[in-house]
Amino acid sequence: MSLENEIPKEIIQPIKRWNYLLFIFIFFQIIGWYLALYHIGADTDQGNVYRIIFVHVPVAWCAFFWVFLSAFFAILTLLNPQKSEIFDRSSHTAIELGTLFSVLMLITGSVWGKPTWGVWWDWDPRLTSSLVMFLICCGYLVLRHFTPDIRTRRNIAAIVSILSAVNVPIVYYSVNLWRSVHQPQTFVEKAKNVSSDISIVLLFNFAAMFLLSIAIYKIRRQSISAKETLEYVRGEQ
Amino acid sequence: MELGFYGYLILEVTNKNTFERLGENLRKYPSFFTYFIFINKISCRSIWMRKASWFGTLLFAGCLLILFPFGLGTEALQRNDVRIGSLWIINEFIAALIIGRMFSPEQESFALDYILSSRMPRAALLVGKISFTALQILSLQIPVTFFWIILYNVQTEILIELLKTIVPISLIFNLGTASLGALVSCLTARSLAKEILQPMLFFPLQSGVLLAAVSLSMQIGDNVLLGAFSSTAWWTVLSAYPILFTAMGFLLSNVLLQE
Amino acid sequence: MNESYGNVGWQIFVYASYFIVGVSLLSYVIMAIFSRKKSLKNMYEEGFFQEKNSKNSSAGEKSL
Repeated sequence: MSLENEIPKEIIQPIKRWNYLLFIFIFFQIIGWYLALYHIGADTDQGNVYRIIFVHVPVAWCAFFWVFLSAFFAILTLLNPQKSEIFDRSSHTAIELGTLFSVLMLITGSVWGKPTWGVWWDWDPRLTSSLVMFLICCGYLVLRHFTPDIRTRRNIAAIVSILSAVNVPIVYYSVNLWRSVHQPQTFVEKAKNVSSDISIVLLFNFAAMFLLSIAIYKIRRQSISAKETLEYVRGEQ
Repeated sequence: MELGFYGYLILEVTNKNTFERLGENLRKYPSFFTYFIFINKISCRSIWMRKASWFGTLLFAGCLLILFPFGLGTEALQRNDVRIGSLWIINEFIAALIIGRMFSPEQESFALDYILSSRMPRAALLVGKISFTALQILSLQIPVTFFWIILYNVQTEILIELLKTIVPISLIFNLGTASLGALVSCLTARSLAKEILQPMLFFPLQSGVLLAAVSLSMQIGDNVLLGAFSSTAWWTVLSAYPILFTAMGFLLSNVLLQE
Repeated sequence: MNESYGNVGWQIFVYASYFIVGVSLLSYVIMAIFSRKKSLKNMYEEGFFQEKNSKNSSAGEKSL
């Protein structure tokens, strides 16, 4: 980048660091996926379709992690008004990531459901509660977009983030109760009789996706920080 | 000089002596309660002055009562679960409309700024509005339930049992909906396109309380659609909403309600 | 063990999932990198980095 020499070191160094780490974590993820697709044998029950688990489960875990982390940052935004700018940007980035991972979880879950159960959507408790969480996250992003005043935006976005995190377990519990009348959970990651190979590869993919999500978070955080600083300096906030 | 309602309202909230007099007269009650009653009183008066909006919401609910048979077919309505589900969806829409207008009387008369700059604790304003909104939703649910019983041919045999079940559920449902709605209403008050944002945030957050209300009501009669049913669990979910979101409203009232 | 679902094999489901996840994450990262680059370029062009005072300290905040 030709601007490298002009921009202060304290800004450029983290950018370069996370660019490098992003490539390393992408490499890890590719290894994980290679293992999942070609190294591991087929499952006894579901055949080769079960390989979707190696992408669905890590993505699902990341989705919930980033949404709850966003709520954590949101609480800090409200408790510490002097540093609300920093925590609000972190909360915003985390929820963006949570939204992205939620939609990927819904898509992969749906694609897994079709060959396994014959339907694209089964109102499975976890997927349904994730759908509700996804809708609330989208609400957060739209609300941010439609609130002109920056201080109001930080406060209300923080509250919506907390509401979404608080709502997730309630909705999950309710939907689980609701569906337990009709059938047990659709997607059950088998805890018993799982070969150690599958567990290791799943864990590896877990770790790789989580590290990758951290790198993506950092890069997006830098991007949001730069954008908001620019808007502040221009007087657009 | 004859004052209109809003003139009276503005005088009342800007007159420092009003609260002090109320405090003297009702010294045995905590002042929070005094403010709480005051908010309910002025909300009641504002609704009485704007009866048209109450009737308008009732008419909208009536239209929904007709739309369900059109959309689902009358054969579908012979099933208990569809009937009861339709009632609760209509209740949801009633709640959404009322919550959209929660602070409107004060905002439109510019009295909200006076209220917020007075000595009234913001938590009292929020809790007062929650309780009044819950009662307002109830006031609409009564005629809607009556028309629902007639239009949807609810069997007379299960009517008493139905009402005995639905009344307590409605009361808690209304409180849960109103407390959540108050939070959402305050959150979207200063944003553009709040007519879209409010329902967009409100409905997903409401899912649990709707599921709880429907599941508890569906127990009525010999409803064989219910297999394993835990009424305690559903009552827990239903009760969690008013407690949780009123507590959140209390804690966040200074952030939610700003001039 | 039924490995074919109608006229399609398991491959389309599995590879489609991986592809969608990969492409989405990659697109998001690329979008973030471009947005960051654009903001930094604009900041440089508007003289933000030439002032060595509090503006620099707020941009150089330790991000979480």
